Amino acid sequence: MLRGLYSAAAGMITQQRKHDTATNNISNVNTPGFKGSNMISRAFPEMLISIVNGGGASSKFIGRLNSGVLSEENIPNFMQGDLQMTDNPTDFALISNLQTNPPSVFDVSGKLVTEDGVTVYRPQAFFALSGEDGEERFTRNGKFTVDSEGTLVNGSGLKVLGVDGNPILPPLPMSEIKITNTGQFLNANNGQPVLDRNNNPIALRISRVENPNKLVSEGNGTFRLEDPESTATAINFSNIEDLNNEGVQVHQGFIEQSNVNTAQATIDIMSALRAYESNQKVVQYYDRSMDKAVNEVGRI
Amino acid sequence: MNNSLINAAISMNGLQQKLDTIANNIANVNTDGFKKKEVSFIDILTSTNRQLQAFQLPGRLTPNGMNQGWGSRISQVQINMKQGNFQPTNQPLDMAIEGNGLFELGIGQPDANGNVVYTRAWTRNGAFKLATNPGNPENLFLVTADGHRVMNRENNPIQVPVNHKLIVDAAGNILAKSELDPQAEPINLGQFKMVGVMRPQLLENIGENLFVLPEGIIANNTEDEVLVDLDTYNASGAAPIGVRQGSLEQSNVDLSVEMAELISAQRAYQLSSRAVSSSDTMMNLANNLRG
Repeated sequence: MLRGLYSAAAGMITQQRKHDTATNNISNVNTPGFKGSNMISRAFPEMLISIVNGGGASSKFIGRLNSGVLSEENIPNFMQGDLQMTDNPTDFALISNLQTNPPSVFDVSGKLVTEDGVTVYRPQAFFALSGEDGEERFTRNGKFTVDSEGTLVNGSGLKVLGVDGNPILPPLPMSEIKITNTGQFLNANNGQPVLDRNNNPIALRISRVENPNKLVSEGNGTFRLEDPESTATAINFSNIEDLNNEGVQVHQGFIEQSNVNTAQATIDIMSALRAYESNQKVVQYYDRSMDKAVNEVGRI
Repeated sequence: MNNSLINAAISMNGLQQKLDTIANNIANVNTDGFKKKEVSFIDILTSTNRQLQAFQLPGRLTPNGMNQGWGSRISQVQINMKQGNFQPTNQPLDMAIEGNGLFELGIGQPDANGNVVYTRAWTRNGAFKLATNPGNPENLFLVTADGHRVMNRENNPIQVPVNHKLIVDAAGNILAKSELDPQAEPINLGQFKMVGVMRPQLLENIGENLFVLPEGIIANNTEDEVLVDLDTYNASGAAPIGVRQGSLEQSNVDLSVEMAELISAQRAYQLSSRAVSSSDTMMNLANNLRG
């Protein structure tokens, strides 16, 4: 039996998925706040093979064999994107340099394995949006606008949440409002805080997600927190003593560019294509082997 | 099967529209009072391929399910209302608005019976001129370069007596001073009708540097929330709107920014087309499996 034929076919499908992921990264090189992702593949479960015939009573083990590969997960990379100035008063960029308590030194993927073997992930800050189901959504795409009702919304119309958890209704045109690095709304002309209808100062809600890997991408730049164990908390900038919150800054008139590395994405595409080609060749070799078995071995 | 192909093709479509917008901005780099447009992208809805609970092995980082993105699309085309630079022209009929306001105009169009009906429109382009008034030769209309009448606070077209020079103060009050008789008292022609822009993204650009309110806003009677009159606007705490006579507001397009955007959009387009040809090669390989 030629087991490898199906392994090679599984390899082709997996490389196709890798190609799709790299294409999606390339497609979003101009999407603000986009986080590129990496496809991780996994070998099919190992199986033990043994001699079936001729082994006698004690069948002899040959060894382990993997019979294919599958695409397992798509891991977003939450690395900070570069800031680009747009001068647009409804554009916001977040710089997230959050730390755990006690502080840790993370690798590029935002992970640290401590000496005790515990994995610690780098927390990330996000703008909070109100999803269509009323649940909180997270985004780094700060390209907002003001809709016909006067609320601050993102590009797909989801309402941006204020620090009190309610949508933001700026009473002034956004060009007359200056937003501080902590997300407070100030009147650009006199520096006074901008108040909402209940006379509370308006500020953006910035959420801190402890393990961003647990976020599920929904498209439209938004993420949903699905895992019940991981938590998201609103950062309270008024508590200066909370050192963990240092390193989060809001910048008005800027957007965070996509963090996709175009050179890497091009290489991903090329390697996926060539690996696909290799698997295709292997399928053809198996075909030739079967051709021999069928047409030549049995010939008299 | 060919998800890559769909993904890249959709994204190229959006990039093409971005290139068109940049081209329009560059074309208007010398248009007085022009406000540039900016295209921004958003990634398309992600689909999740469901996985069995057995996939949740130790060491896995993400929740169950394989996410797949489907490219990017245009999320919004925003008008950037940033103030343009003032260019002194020393022409007494050139006006530039300082601050977040618009001049109100009356656009005449004949209706079914041949009577001219005036509808409202707004502009930032203050390069005005005088046009003859067939009904009253002694008074000239103040009009835009395209002949649309400029309105005053009383919602009447501004009329300038013949042989009079305009003197406009910072608040937009117009005085007409006689050129023939220096001793004569200046005539008060009222104030320019200007509106403060509360929500610039809801204005509709109809070309010729004119903005109008979209049908839905007029139907819902919510135009006060988009454009407010001068007093309400100035009382809201925003920077007051003023007029500068003898200057024109230049286009707010910055050529170097547009060129940089053009290069990045074109390179992204190139990269996506690379992905298209790559997925084409993959389909060719699949078709030729059986050599």
